[in-house]
Amino acid sequence: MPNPSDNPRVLLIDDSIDVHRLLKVRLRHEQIRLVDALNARDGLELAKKEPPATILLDLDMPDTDGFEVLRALKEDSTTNSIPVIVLSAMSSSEDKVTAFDLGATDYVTKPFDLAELRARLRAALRLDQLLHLLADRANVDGLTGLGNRAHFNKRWAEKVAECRRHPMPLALAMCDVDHFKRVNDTYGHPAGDEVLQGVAKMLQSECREIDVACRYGGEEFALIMPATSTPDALVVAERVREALMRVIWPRHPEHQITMSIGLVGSSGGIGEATAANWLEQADRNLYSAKRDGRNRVVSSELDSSVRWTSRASDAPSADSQAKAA
Amino acid sequence: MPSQARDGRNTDAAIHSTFANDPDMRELIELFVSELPGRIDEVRIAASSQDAESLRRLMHMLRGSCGGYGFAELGRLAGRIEEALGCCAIQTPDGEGALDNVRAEVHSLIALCARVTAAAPD
Ligand SMILES: [Mg+2]
Repeated sequence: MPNPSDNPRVLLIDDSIDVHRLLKVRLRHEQIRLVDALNARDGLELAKKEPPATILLDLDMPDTDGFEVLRALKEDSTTNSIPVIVLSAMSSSEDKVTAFDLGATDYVTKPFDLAELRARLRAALRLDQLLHLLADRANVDGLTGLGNRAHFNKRWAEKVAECRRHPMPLALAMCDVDHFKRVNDTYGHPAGDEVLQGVAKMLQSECREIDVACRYGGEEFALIMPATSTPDALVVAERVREALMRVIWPRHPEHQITMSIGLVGSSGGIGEATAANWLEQADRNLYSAKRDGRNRVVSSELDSSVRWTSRASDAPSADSQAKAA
Repeated sequence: MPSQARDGRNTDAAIHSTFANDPDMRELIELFVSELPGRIDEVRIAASSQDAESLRRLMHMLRGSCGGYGFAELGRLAGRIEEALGCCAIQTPDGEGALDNVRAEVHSLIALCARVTAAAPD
């Protein structure tokens, strides 16, 4: 039985209470949740607060011209990809052209032909679904299905920013498959791909719901552990490391795969540390783990006192990737 | 004794919603019809106080909603009045001339609204 609260939200911005009542009844059997705004200001606010899957927008309202609302929606990055169906009693082609030029997805004239409105609404919802799918694809690593590096950068910057605003524990583990090149050289690239896929699967099953596992690049993976102290994160990291050792690889059962992990956690105050230099510190620990013989976790508390070179930006810098294989 | 229009239509006859037999719509139509007299009062007030902009907005609302409630003829008439007000208001900023041009149509709209009923036809 589908849960109605999972239905996509459709925001209706129209100054006429008659239209709200009418559509509430007429769209009752659609798989949607209808949200009401009786003026442009409330509509914009609602759209930004919780972006709906589609907006039905009246052009003629006393407080603001619907075109202005459309312009505002398209200028805001949180709302600009939401499909907008313009509703209007005017049917001049000039208005239609303006609406489409401003980014409207569709245009429906009042009084509504209901079958047509429903069909157009469904088309807009399909478009919204496709747009989301595309956006997801841009953040997903094709080989492993984990978040990719762009996704990691975004999530990590968000988590560090949250931690700066509201001090709480946070940990980052950078994990790198040991001697990965040997797998590729000895067993071929398909075997290498299987190792990367296997590591991803293991990471997802060993880490917790709140953790974020990403493929950072090559054979390197990142694990963000929110609300987790360094000792607790070390437990997770060790569990991950041991789980990988136990995997039997169908293509090379005699060849065990291991990984080295650099972990840096903070129990709260992150001081001068940024997302970028936190990542650099985790990289250093990873380097130490490699140098000390691999297949181990090197962990430390975040050094929040040092002003690191790349603090101008919160995005991980390119020079932080230098890695020992 | 019902009066007859020149075209032979009964001008006292009740106007039913084309959705009057749709159970989904019954309650909505009743609400719409019950609120109509209040709106017509607003139309009368706007017309008698020469308030072309208010009248235009009222017509716009009726134009947009009447059709959806099954009173397409009303909606079309409101639309014609809205358009007449829209274009003439530009020529006469006080709106007085504009109102003169639509007075007859506003009266027929008021008369039509008085005949609207939420009941289903027999
Ligand atoms: Mg409107």
